Amino acid sequence: MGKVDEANEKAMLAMSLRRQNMTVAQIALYLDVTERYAYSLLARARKLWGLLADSSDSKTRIGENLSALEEMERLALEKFAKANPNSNVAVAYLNAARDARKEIKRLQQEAGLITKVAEEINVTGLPLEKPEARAAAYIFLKTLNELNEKNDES
Amino acid sequence: MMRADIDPEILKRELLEYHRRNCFKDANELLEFIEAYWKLRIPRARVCPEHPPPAEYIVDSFFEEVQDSVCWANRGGGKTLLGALATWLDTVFKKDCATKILGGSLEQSKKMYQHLTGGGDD
Repeated sequence: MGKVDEANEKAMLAMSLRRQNMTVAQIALYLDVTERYAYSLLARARKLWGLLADSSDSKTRIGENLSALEEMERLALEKFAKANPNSNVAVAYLNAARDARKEIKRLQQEAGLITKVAEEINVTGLPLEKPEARAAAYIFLKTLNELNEKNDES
Repeated sequence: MMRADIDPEILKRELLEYHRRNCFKDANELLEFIEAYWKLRIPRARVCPEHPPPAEYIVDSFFEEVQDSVCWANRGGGKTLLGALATWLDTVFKKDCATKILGGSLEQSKKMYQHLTGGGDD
């Protein structure tokens, strides 16, 4: 990887951490760089985002944004895999990956690339007037009770 | 990530509301409901020919096959618990039902009240 690419990646990661309300000192510690360099990384990231925003082709811009975010997610997951899983650094990498994924999803939804989907669905209004539905509900609840009992025993 | 979440409490509440509107079609459905809702497996098998199983007491009491009943069982055999259950079933599924606990002792009455409010021993 070239020096420019490496600097850009670090800049994007620094920006992602800044968005998680980390201080510059924390970002510097996280990236193992000086605070001064962390400031310059953030400035670089702002310039990079500015370049993307200035692009006249919105599709290209969205594509570039997505690429940047996907790269950010990949990098964060890669670093997470190498970090001590019990350390705060690992948690921070995981959070960075999660945030990147959220941004990717949001961008895709806004661009109409994917249909907006619910984060969580609560199943209600089951047709309990049908005996089959009631039988299924009883089986489900009883199985759940049995599983809970087994968990309590172990 | 999208998650389809069936909340057992919502499901239990829906089942309860369904049976409040439609009651129970038979003894089996009543016992199924009790097992799913209260996690209580009430013995249905008659072990001794002259001893009715506990499920018979609950079913006959709920469907009013008998007007008065006497429960005779060993100490710790679940008489108070089943009594509380029969009372709860009447209170929840029958209209204009009021409950008055008359225990053999204050301790037993308290125990029944605790069972009724879901705070009894396991």
